[in-house]
Amino acid sequence: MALSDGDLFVSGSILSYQQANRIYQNFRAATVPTALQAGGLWSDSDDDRLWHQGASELLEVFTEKTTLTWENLLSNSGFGVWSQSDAAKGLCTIAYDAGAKGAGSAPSVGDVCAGANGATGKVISYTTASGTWAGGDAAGVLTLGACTGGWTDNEVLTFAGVETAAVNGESIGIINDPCNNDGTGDWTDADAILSFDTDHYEIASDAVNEKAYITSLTFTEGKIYKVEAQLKDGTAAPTDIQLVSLDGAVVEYSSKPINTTAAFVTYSCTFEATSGTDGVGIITPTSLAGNNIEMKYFICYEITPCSTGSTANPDGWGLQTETTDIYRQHNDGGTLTKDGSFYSLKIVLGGVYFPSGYLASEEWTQQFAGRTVTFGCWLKTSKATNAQLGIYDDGFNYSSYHTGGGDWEWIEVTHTFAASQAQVNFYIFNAGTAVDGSTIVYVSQPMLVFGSHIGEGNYQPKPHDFVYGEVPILSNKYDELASQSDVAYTDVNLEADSDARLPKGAKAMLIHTGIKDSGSGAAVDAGIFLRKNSTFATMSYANNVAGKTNDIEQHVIGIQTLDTNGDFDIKLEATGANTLDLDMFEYHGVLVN
Amino acid sequence: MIEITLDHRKPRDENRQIAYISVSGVNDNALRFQVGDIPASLTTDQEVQDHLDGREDELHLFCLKKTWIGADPWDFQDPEKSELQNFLDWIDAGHKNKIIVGYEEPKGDEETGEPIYDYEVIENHFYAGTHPLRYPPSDEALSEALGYLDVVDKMNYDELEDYIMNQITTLAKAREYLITLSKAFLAAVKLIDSK
Repeated sequence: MALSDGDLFVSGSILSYQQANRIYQNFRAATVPTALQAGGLWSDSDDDRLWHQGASELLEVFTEKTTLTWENLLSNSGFGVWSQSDAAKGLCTIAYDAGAKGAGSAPSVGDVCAGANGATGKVISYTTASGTWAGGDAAGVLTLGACTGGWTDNEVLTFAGVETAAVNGESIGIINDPCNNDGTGDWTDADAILSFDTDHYEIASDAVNEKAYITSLTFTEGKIYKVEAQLKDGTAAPTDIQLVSLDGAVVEYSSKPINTTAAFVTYSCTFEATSGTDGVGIITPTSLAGNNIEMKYFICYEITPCSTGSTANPDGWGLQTETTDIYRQHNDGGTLTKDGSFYSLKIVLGGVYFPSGYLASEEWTQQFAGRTVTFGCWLKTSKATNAQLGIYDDGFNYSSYHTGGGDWEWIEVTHTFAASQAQVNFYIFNAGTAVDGSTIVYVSQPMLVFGSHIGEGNYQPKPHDFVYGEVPILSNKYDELASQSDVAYTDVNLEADSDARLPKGAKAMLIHTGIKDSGSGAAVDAGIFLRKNSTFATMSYANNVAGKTNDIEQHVIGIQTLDTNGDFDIKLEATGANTLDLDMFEYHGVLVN
Repeated sequence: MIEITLDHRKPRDENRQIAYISVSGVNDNALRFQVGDIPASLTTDQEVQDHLDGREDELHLFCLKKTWIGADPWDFQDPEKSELQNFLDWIDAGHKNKIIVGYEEPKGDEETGEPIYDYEVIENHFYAGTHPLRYPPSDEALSEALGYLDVVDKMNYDELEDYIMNQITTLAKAREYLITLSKAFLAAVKLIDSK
């Protein structure tokens, strides 16, 4: 194995670095070769080190891949921030039967599935366990994303306006009570009194904090859920009804106060499930004095940010085509998410590219002129010739395909740019459209570096990656929250309060608020005050209107650090009772790493 | 029991008006502050007063929060009781916040030990409110007073003095009349200056 002697070997004077690379590629062994002499080289069997035999049998590492220090050029590579997510984010699984082709053949991935009662979703995949669509008796299980609501048993579904099917039983994983039949037996109403009347429920209370709720439900800890209900005045016209999540009979999260009106209006709240969450319902913080409100439709379902149209997502990334359907995949411990990252990107149709918006700007393209880059990531799919990467510089330079073996595989592509190019983009493709879900591509830990190699296991997120939202993200609970009094410090779950558009575990956030108080001219504190948590009570952000002209809105933009969960505390101070208005409460970005 | 008195009110926006109120019965002081969400549909002082009386518990709680700054009564909150009752119970129990002062040594594979609690006594704070006792006259009172301008404008000094003395029945009323007369006086000075 001795190839050369002398001190000049490692300097490249005798053997070029490229030749050393060839040795590295071709001379490998699990242990030190027995005939190795001083000055000799050998590569270990897992390809991560090239060893050099020094004098007196001293072995030393000549070069080592794990010393990689290149910086990831991709922002939001954890796929956590989705400021432009679709408003409809529900996930749903439905058993169906009576599937018929109508004027088509069979539903396709990405088809809009419309329920007769008004809910819609987009087809992610489905099975046909029996029957055929041509025969009008197809039956199986349908998985939908970007849902607006829920479905009821026997409800007719229409796919892209062509094929039809019928819901067979209850939607799986969804609590769906249309309130048009007497389903009050499924509810717990030990406090508030729940009753059925003709085509709606009535909720009456005669004391504070009475509630009606559905319990013994199964939620996944850490996932985000949305509760929706249509409510109106009954014999009472309350101003502070709240939708809630519960652990047993104890309220865990409550929505902003709901001021019901004479007409049915859909209200919602979004919460993160804890290990104890097992119920959702409605509470009456103020007694209705024996009177009631009316409810027509109550639903709870999991949500995840997604993009099923032409809107670029996640922030910093763009959609390959207008028919691209992508979703954020919640951590499942290494199956659909890759260990080392919490989220992955689920590409149902089409593909994504980086960066969104800088495609042809010279400020972007010139930094690549004449340089070599490598773009890589983990991909997972179950179909061959389906998932690959591409670097575009006036033409595509593709990686090899994922084998389609169904496991995570590290794929990377290296390309050296010419002196100038009109456009530079980095693509992740899904070429498949199989309805059984086999062509879905999961993406994790994408990395783009200047250099000719990354290698699996070398992913690192962009340091200090502050992801600025393409659009402001409105706070579910505090945006347009009028007539507030003093509220002591309360924890705010950033992910839930942003309707899942922001991720767990962010380090800091950029926030913009606009508030006013009808008595701010008085010498009394008034405003909103944020802190990281009660232990590290440093307040970074405040919007204090004390001393300002009464009822004149003041805007403040600033940074607030977040606790280890990515959450923060908020305190409200008003000069009087219900004098403080939070007209604007927007998240503009987060530090994700 | 607290007593709520409407001092004055004015419009806030198309849906709300502001009530300036005095509240007694919370402590030794009369607390004066605003209520910023009175429905605009309430058009008379009596309607607003009735509305405020219906919100006694809410306003009582507000006063407690302003006078017990730093209170954390949620520690032992009873969900069967109102927030006000929980707050009153906290005061009766010595107005003490439960705080963590340290942690016990971790046992077994615990990352941290059990917290060690103590109590911090919260003191009552003076809170006067957000508007002075000499609140401006209500729109109704001002309108009434302005109606007297036509009368007093035609009087000589002696007639005016007699008229005022006959009309004044309360100090509050006098204050309103004096404001009105001051305005009339200033208007007269302006008129003279302009000529």
